[in-house]
Amino acid sequence: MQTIVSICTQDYLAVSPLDGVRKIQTLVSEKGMCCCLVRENDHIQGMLTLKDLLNAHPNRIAADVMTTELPMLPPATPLWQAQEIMDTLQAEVVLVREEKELQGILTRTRLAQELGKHTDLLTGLYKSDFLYYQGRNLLAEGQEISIIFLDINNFGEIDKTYGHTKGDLILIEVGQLLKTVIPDHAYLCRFGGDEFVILLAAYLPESIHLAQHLGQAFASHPFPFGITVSVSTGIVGGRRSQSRPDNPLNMITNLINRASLESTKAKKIDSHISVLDAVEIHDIA
Amino acid sequence: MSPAESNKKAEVTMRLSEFEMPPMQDILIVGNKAPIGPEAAKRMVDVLSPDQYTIVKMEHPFIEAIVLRKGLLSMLPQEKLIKLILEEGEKIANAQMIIKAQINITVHVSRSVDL
Repeated sequence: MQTIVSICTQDYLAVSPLDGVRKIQTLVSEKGMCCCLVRENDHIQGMLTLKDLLNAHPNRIAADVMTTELPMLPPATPLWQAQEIMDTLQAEVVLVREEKELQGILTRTRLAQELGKHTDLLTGLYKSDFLYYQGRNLLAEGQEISIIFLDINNFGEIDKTYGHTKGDLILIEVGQLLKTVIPDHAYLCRFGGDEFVILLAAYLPESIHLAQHLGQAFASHPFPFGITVSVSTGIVGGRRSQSRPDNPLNMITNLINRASLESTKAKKIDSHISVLDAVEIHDIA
Repeated sequence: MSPAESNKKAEVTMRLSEFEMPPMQDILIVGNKAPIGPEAAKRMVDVLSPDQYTIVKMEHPFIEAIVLRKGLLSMLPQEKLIKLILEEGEKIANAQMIIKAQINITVHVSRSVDL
């Protein structure tokens, strides 16, 4: 899972607390920066964002304009977690710092740019990295999890019969439908092609109930061009075990893989739902 | 008339007075859009009169901070002094202004002793 140390920058501007706002505005503008640090004797005292500089009287010194509450995150923070923290703090910039060593700064723009790569441009849904992150969190919180893997039936035929652009419109519609049907405590992603995955913080029976509900929703939904769309669903429920610790990402990968195999089995079943119970989840050390 | 014979003259007036030490008196009320911020004011007086002034930052619609002489706080509790300064200061200050204020505190004591 990608962490912020891979996208933070060491190329930042540092000014003295006694530097004037006008001078800093010029420096920031010339170097095309969106913020600068205020440093005195190798000690970071604060930070100035463009907003701070725009709102300040040009005669003021940095010490009178800077933000002194500096949000700091460890380098190993996953991108999704950084976004949550920056949203909560309404921070434009965070310092990436390990103990006392500054590794760089991370701006909201840079983070959004990187997270954009984890968003599927066609459906607007997140890609699988988001699911791995949320799954890791749920396991760390000691929650039960289940995975629902959905594969659109005969999507290749839809593409061949109606054309790929209409096939794309079906994928968009499926994404929208799934978003409206899944509960608040579920996480959805487009896994690839015509496959979607739902991570649910719930025991297996709730996942089976949701899969059945999804089947009904697909059957009654009016898809574009009168195309009939159905899905084959593989469900895997995790069973918590304290036998040995394991890597949470490996656990999620394993669960998704098992669920994908179940969805293949489901294609041959009338109900189009196949369930695998009791995949062991080892408690995180 | 040639430039050399010009009758232009310059009048020079001078006002000489003693430099006030420190250049601020007891209190500065700093507006939140003032050209000099409280930290700059404090650093300025700290160079001339080290450790004599302190900054009290505040949540106020247009007053950012009050820089005050520490000696005053040994005569009056900070919260009472700030309340008093704000009550009077906000009547005349605005966000762009820095108001200089002088304050005299006289403590009246009347005690009786056993004879």
